[in-house]
Amino acid sequence: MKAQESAFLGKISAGMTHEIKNVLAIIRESAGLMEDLLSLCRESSFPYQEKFCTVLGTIQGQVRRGVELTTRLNRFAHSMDAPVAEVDLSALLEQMVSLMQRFARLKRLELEALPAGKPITIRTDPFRLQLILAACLDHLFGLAKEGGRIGLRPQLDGGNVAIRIFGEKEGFAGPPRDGELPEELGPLSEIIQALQAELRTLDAGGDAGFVLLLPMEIQ
Amino acid sequence: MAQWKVLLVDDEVEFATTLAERLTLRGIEAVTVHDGEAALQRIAVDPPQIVVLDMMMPGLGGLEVLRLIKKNHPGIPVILLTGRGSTKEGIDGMDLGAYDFLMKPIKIEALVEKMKEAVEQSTSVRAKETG
Repeated sequence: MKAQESAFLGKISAGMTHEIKNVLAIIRESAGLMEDLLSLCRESSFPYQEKFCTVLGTIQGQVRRGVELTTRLNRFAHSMDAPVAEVDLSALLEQMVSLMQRFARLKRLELEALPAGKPITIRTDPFRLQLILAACLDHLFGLAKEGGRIGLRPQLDGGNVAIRIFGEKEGFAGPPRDGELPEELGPLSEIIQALQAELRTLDAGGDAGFVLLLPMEIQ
Repeated sequence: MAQWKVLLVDDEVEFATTLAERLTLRGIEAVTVHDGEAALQRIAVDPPQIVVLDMMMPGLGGLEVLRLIKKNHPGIPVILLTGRGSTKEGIDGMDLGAYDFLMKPIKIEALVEKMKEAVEQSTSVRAKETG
């Protein structure tokens, strides 16, 4: 996707998620006001008081869920703000897990972001990086057996950074073959090049998947 | 009896008025306005002890309103409300003199606590200044 197109998509999505948050804020405050008023008449004989409290609790719970989802979507939208930005890899991988969680759940898989030894920050294109990671995850979701677990782990690799997108080899019906990138990831080559990155298959120590090598800073 | 007065500045009218009602129930007098210009006018004629200011508003944006409040009424603490997913905007506001920022939707207890802290701090600074 061209920079202008992604910036447009980002701007619209960021604006809409901001509006949705305002809607959620009004729902939260309205439910909160009802709770406040109910607590003022706790001693009264209002027959459905307990039921009202339960329902208001459900509303507040769903608002919290909606806020979490829109916050993630808002962050994703803002990842299109600039073609190159400082990226905290642990935060970005947490974000990826959140965005892809639903797709993993549909395949009955567990998806998790694993911690780096220490914080790693790089300068890269956050939107394109997420696009590559999502494509790799999607590919692994297609190969993984039900009940499997897929992880994302950043690590320093010499002067570069490596992100492992992997699961236990036994958890795949047919893991990616060593040294051979799947055909469906072919269209990513231009994006991988733009990130000055390299995508390799991983088959080591009982794990299988991909390793994405990235420079600390795009030149 | 109200302990002190807060000015709520938010273009989302229902949000501001509902929040004001909840604060009133907690003994805090809350006045609402719905744009930056109205906020500055209100502060000039009836300064509150604290301002709670939304960052994204039509017309004068939150940061610009904050800058003008800090220029003309440096003693009034301002708490920012931000709807963005990241904290960057709030940190920018603190660099301009905001007391703190909260992400929308807010937790009322957190807002009340933050307002109390800010008012107490500004009161004690003023007391020291006046000797």
